[in-house]
Amino acid sequence: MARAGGITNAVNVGIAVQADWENREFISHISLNIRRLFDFLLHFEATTKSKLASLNEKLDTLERRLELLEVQVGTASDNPSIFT
Amino acid sequence: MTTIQSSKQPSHQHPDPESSDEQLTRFNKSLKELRDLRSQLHYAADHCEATFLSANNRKVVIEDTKHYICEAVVTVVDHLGSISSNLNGLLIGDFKVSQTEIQIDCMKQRILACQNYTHHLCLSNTRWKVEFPKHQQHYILSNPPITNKTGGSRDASCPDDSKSTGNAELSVVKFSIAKAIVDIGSPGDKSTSSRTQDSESSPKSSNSCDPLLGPQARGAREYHTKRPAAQGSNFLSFLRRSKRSAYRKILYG
Repeated sequence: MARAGGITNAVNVGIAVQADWENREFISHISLNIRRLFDFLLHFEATTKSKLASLNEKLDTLERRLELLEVQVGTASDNPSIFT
Repeated sequence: MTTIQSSKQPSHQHPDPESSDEQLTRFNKSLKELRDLRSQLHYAADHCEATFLSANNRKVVIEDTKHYICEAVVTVVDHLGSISSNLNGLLIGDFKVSQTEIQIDCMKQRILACQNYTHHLCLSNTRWKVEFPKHQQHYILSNPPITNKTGGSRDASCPDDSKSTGNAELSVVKFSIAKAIVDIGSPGDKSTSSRTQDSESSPKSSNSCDPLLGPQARGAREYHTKRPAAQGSNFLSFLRRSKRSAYRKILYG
């Protein structure tokens, strides 16, 4: 009886160890996927910042052009004698 | 055990200029879902922990928790993909910026054309002025060298030139007539001959002509200065000579 109980305990320990290794493997997979997800987020952040910077530059250029056009139109409107 | 709400599948759509508002709305919606998912995951983690501590069969709880974690990770990745796709579409599909650039370039070209037109007008006004200064007639010389009354055209100055040349010719004719009368009356008139001799004897008077004006001007000046006496004596001498010639013709046939 004692011998059979020792074998059963050994089997249970082996099953527990196997389950523990499976859990560890699952956790490692999840952690790896989460790290990949963070890498993607970092890359996406850099790409988005670059695109937003280029878009901001374009908008600044457009704003300056609009200001220049406003000044030119204002000058031409203040001096209507040059059109006569 | 709570189940994670299934999010929308990430839509990999190409940027469409007309659906930019829809993309923006979709992006905001997916971002809100991701924020809600964060609190939902925290609540699910607390529930799994409590269930694991209070459950008799923990193996089943662990398996359910694993399954839930897998679904949660997939859902998070799905949400992140959706958000990144929408944001990428918004950033790439900047058609409004390109359209605004085109409109601004068009306005710039129009303003440049207006500036060129105004410069052309200013240059033409500077080059040619129609209104020239006008002077009164009595302030203008009879023979002006260059003064043009009507815009400096040569045709307009021709009448003045012809008029001045006509006056010069008339003065020359008058001078020649006067000189002929003087020449006619000079041989018979002693006073005039003596006067001419006197004038010839005196070098000052004979050579007092202006070298710039010439002998004609001297004769004209003498004619004008000696005009009354010379004219009367010439006329008398002319009458005498005509009488003598008539008598000679009658006497000598």
